[in-house]
Amino acid sequence: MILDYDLSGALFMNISHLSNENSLDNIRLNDGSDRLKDYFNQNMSINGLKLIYQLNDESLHFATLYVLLPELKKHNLINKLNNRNKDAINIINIITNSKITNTKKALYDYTSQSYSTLKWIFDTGHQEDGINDDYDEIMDRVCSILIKYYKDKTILNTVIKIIFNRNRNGYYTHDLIWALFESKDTEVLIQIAKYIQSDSKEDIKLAKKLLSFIPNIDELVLRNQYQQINTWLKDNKSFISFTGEYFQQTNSPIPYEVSHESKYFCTYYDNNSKLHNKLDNEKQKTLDSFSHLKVEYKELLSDFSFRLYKSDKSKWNVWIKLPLVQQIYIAVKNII
Amino acid sequence: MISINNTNTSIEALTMNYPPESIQYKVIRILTDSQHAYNYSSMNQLFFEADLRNSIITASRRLNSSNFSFKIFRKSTCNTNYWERTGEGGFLLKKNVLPTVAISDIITNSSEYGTECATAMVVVYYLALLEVFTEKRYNELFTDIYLMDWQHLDYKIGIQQYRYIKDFLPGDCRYFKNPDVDPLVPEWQGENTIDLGDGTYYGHGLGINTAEEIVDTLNRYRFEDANESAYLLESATRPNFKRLYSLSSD
Repeated sequence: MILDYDLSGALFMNISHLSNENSLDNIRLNDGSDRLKDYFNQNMSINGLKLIYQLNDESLHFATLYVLLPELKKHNLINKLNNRNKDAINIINIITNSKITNTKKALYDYTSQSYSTLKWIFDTGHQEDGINDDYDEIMDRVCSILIKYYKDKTILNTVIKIIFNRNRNGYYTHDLIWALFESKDTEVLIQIAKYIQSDSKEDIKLAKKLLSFIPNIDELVLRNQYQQINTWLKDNKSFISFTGEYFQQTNSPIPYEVSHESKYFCTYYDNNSKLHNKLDNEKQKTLDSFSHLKVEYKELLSDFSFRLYKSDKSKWNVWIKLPLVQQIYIAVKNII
Repeated sequence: MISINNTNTSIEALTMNYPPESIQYKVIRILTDSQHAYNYSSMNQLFFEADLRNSIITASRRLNSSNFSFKIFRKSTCNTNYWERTGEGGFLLKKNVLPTVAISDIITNSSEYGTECATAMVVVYYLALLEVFTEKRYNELFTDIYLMDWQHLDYKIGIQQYRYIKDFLPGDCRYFKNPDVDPLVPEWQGENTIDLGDGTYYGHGLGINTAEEIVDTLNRYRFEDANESAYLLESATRPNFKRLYSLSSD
């Protein structure tokens, strides 16, 4: 048995070499939360130190700490926990105590150390999504912080799975969808599109709603044209811009849209930098003229430009330098 | 500019039934003064829109004066005599309950209800429609009410967001966006409000405030090193007034 002290001074026992799973986790997973609480209360007076060791062990799952939190408060044990657990309890308190939100001060100290706690909460806690509403709310907020503040994209595919799972069961998804789209990552759209092929009607309905900005999505889904949807996303994902619209705001939000300007110049869309700054003087002038065109001409030119760029870059280099009127003529006639 | 059945009509003729301080007068004045041409099939169609906009504002003020509280969807509450609270926190009209009774109960027993701002806007519309439809017609039309968010508002209301518009009217739903919201409090990512026509806006949970006051409040819920302020979007969400007018007669 290896005994140690962590940075908070809390006793720490690394028992992960003895077992792949923590015994407190095992009791919760095999016998349920109530049995875990009973076990904890019965053994607290007999072998309290060992229980604290197990709680502070690195292998512990967040859900076990969450379930035992009332018991830890009852036995006045919070100060015996390590920094990770104390920080996690702080996050739980902030999220579940609505009074704290009415403040001008920062709600939470976003540091690199808190990132590791948040990541631990998500990595070890997401599989227990659905324990109760408060627990799910904690998962929602932790996801939001990891994605929006820490720009963590490693959790996005798991977040998508949680969203669709909850949706199938009629549970709340708005905040997770908001967090997912706040990633501004177009790869998530390709993952969402996979649910078009699901056997679940609820999955298909949600996927369609989230991808409603794709032209003719209703018809494509109706005809089960998943490949066309996927091709459209792959073709356009470099030019898709994030609008920040959500379901809270409108009945038909357009969270993403194709930047015709980016597609026209075959230049990656970047939410953080203006296209104008990436172009030389000549192309900047063309961009100014292009920006004043009607939407249908923008669509025509951007689609034609992208197809030409993919098929013959040297022809594209000639075409893109022509006056817009000539470009439109060639695009309409499709004669290059 | 307003035209009735493709004929330009003077503001005097259109406003003779409304006092100058009324919401209806303000609505018609803005439409008349606009560069944009607004066409109505009849004067009654225009008056219906003006009256419904007034009802939207009245409903907002009534809701604001009530004990209808702000709660996040996960903790939303309702009178379960009339509504079934769903797993996602919405309120579904129970079978064998009259829609007019259930909607009116939100004001009558307001302390039993609590939800987010998007649902509050949906409630505002259903409350406002009580004033312009007969009880019989209302109960025929809105039999499957689900109070949750914009997606679940009855399609017959024809709610739609209008982007990049020139004229904003009393009774419009306007959205204040808070892009740098602290991710710990996503409920402050923005605020749906009703334009009350006097330079103030009703937002559920915030009360009645000016645009500057709403922006100040939202900015308090940003993360610490945020650099983008909350702002009012140049768009408005509106019901389809013309469709509702056509549905209003039995």
